[in-house]
Amino acid sequence: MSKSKKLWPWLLVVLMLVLTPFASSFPDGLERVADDLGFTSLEKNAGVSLMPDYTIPVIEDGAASTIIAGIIGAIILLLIFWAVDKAVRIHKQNMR
Amino acid sequence: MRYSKLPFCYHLREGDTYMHIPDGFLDTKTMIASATVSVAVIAINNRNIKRAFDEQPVPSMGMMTAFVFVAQMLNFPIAPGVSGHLLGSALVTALFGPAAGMTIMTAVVALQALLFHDGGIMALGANVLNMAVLGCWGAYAVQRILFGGKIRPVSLFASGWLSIVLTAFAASIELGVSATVPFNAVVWPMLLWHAIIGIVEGVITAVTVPFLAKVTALKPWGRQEVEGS
Repeated sequence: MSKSKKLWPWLLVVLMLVLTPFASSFPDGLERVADDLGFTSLEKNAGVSLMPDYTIPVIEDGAASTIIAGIIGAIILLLIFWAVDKAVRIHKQNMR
Repeated sequence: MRYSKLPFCYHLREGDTYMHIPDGFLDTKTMIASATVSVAVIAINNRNIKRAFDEQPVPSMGMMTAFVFVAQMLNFPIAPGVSGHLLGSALVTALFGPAAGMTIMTAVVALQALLFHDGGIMALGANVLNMAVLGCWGAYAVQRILFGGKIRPVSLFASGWLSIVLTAFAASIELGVSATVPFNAVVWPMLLWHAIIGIVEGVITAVTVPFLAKVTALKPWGRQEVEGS
């Protein structure tokens, strides 16, 4: 796989990350229905969350906070699939 | 409610809820039942995932997982006072097939619940059932049935639209069964908003999959060519 072929999806991911602070803050479909039908208040806070609502509590600026939270989430998912990749490779070697 | 200091981000407010089904909306029996179904389907699914791991590079699955996660953060307005965001089930199913697609969506939804408070931890089973199980298999059914299994922009659009509407329908059933709201009251507004969100989802899916097939080494699932793009 040539380098440019790997580059494109990453460009899209970076572009979307830059756009995340501009995401609409209107309630989404389910939340709007909950608001209209009056059961939003049933929502419970399940204790502590490290990065509630895609913000990092320590970072004051909303935009930077959201972008960094997005980067952290993406890195965690990449690490998970990196581990899966390693496991699949080891499995294939053992099968040989 | 506090607003961001950046001048262009005045509409970003803290305490904003990006939302899957949160804790408190569903009762215990619904959460247990949906979690049981999800675990059972994923357990069966994991036996069939070998083909996906053989045919598609696993690192690119990780790449698309990160792609879906970031895309889900981008809420777009669909009407005054309502927004939606990409789901991604149809997108990953078109690229990696339903088995790997389910794994990808489960990873995203679980991470959102555990780290970002988006969707409840107790309601995770229901969210996985709606978005990963029904979203991916619903999309896969459309992609297999239309055009004899050839993946074309029209089938991509239809599968994206259906995955959103099916997910919203399932969420309505779960809310109805939980006696949170009457099913008849919740199902129509849910379907209306998500039918609109589904159009955007369908367009993004129909554009992104042929684009990625063109500029990357990723090929749509089932070795079918993307036609008409």
